[in-house]
Amino acid sequence: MKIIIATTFMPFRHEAHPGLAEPLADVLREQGHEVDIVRLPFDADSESQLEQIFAFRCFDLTTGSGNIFDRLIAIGWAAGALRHPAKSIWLTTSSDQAAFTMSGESHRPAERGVREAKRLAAASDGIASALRTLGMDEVSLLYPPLTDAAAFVPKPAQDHLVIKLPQDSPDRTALILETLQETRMRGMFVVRPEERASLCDTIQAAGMTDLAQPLNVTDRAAVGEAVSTAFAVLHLDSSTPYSGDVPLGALRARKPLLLAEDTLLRSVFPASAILTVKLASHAFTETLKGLRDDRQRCEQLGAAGARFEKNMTWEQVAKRLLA
Amino acid sequence: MNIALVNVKAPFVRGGAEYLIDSLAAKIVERGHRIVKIELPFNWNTPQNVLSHMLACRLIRLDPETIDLVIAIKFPAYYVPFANKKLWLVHQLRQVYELWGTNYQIFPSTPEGEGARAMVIAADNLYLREAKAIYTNSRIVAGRLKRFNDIDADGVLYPPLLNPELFGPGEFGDYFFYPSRMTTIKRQELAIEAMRHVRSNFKLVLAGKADHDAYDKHLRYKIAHYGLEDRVKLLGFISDEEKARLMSNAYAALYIPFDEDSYGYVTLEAFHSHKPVITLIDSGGTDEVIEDGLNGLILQPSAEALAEGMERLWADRAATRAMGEAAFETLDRHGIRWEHVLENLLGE
Repeated sequence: MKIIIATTFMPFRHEAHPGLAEPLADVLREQGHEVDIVRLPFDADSESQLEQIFAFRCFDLTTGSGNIFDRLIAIGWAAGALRHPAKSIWLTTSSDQAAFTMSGESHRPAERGVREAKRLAAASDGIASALRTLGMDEVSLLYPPLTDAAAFVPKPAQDHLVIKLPQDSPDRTALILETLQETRMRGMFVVRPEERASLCDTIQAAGMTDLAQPLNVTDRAAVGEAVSTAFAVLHLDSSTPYSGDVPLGALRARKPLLLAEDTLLRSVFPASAILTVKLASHAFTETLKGLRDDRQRCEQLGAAGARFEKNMTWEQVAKRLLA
Repeated sequence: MNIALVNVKAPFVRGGAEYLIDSLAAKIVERGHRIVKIELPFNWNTPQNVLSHMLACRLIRLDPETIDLVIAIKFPAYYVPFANKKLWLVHQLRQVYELWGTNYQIFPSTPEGEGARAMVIAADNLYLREAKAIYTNSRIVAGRLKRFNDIDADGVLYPPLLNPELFGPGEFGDYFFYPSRMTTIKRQELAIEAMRHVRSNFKLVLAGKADHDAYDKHLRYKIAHYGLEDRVKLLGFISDEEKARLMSNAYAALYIPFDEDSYGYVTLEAFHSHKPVITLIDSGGTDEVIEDGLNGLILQPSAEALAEGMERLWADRAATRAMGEAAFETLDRHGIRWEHVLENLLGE
């Protein structure tokens, strides 16, 4: 089959769904399909969202240059607005969730594209619930596998933590800094390049440059190494169901994964592979101290996580989206 | 600067325009700027589709707070609105201009088709003028812009190769080489037809990805039908390295599209390899650099004439070598350099 994978990006800022199109294309090609990736610019912050979505509706991705395109896999709600009679849509981010939970008529452009889909998959219960509220009961859960699995390897644990926070979250940053002070563990914050300066200022102001440092999310090798050698990974990002490789990478590297109680990942990962922690510094401190004293518990968590991660493959994603 | 290169693409198809964008991007990055490539889908199979895609391009929004300069190269990508926009114009929708009334006309001669044609021309007249500057990739494109839209181009910027160092002189082998995207307008079929009339023992090697399977099958059928399997090779897609090797060791090159706007990368690749190029009088912009008898041949567009031209070169190896040397010297004579392109497009 000739398959188009469509996704969106904000030029010079970020991809809406970074890294998902390529591994999906690779596995489809391995299965004998011809695949092309179409990346459309989309300014999600712009007041002209409706115009941009209308532009997407005008593009024809059914045929071109004498070829018939058999399937369209759209990643994200904006790309989902593209028209195709055999369209699958995969929704993975907070933006996807917000598109269907906005009040009034604002969700209509997203809703129309999604209603045309033959297959509809969501990365979390949150997105799926929003769609079911709109009567789209056929949506199924599909969390993205690792986009760079080779970066995450089980290695002996060192005395540092890898931390993933939502953007612009001073309260959670303060909570983690407090935890680092109490445990005297080093913390590596995975941040986008544009967040780095602000985080450095916060760390400086707290006088904690010896214990805390930023880790650029685009430096995939460094992130992989940090997770692979971490004592534990702390995921406090409640803003989005999918925020990249870090949580699943922790499972692959057999490291304890601590989730804040309000993260959407709790509905995706099995309870046996994670530790859910109350959103308070003393709760994180106690949990980490407990793990320090209980190596067997760490190994149990690591083994359960690795079993779960092993079953999350791009072959499965391709199968589900093309079913 | 943050620079967005805006183009349209038919999914699964790669040709000269995509190569041009990739090359331009690489050279701009070498200068220390940041690049993002924006490729918008385009399907021109019906008048309605053409108009829909024009509208879509017009509705695309690019953020001037994060993008300093937009460079667009093809219809209808140049409709994307942006204050600081420059064009390196490779294609308008030629089918509504000089190809109207030929076999390559894509809109029907009906009220609907005529109306769509008028809308394309009107939109070009309106939106092309938004650009801060319009450069073209050939004199032909500049001439069309003047003739049909009454717009003066700011200059012609001949596109250089991205990696000219890949190509160099080699042996003069026993084959004529024609690497190009396989599509009807490139007229690979005419080259195969010509081989029916060839009496000498040289071969023809065709390489390139077919736009669609049907054309590839059609060419293979023709080769088999004429019993030319031993003398015509259809290689399909090959790597740049393989293309360079085959060009370096070819006897000469063919580049025989119908009414192409520019001289084509094949011509440059051959010239860098010190090989003459055979083209046709109706091939378009090839005659901006190919001079008959000096660095190639310009022939009548028939299988017989093409066969006779190949035979003529084959019979005079010394003259062919001399033409190859002249071909290489042509590159300098026309100033086909990236520095010149970037100075104009980036204004630095």
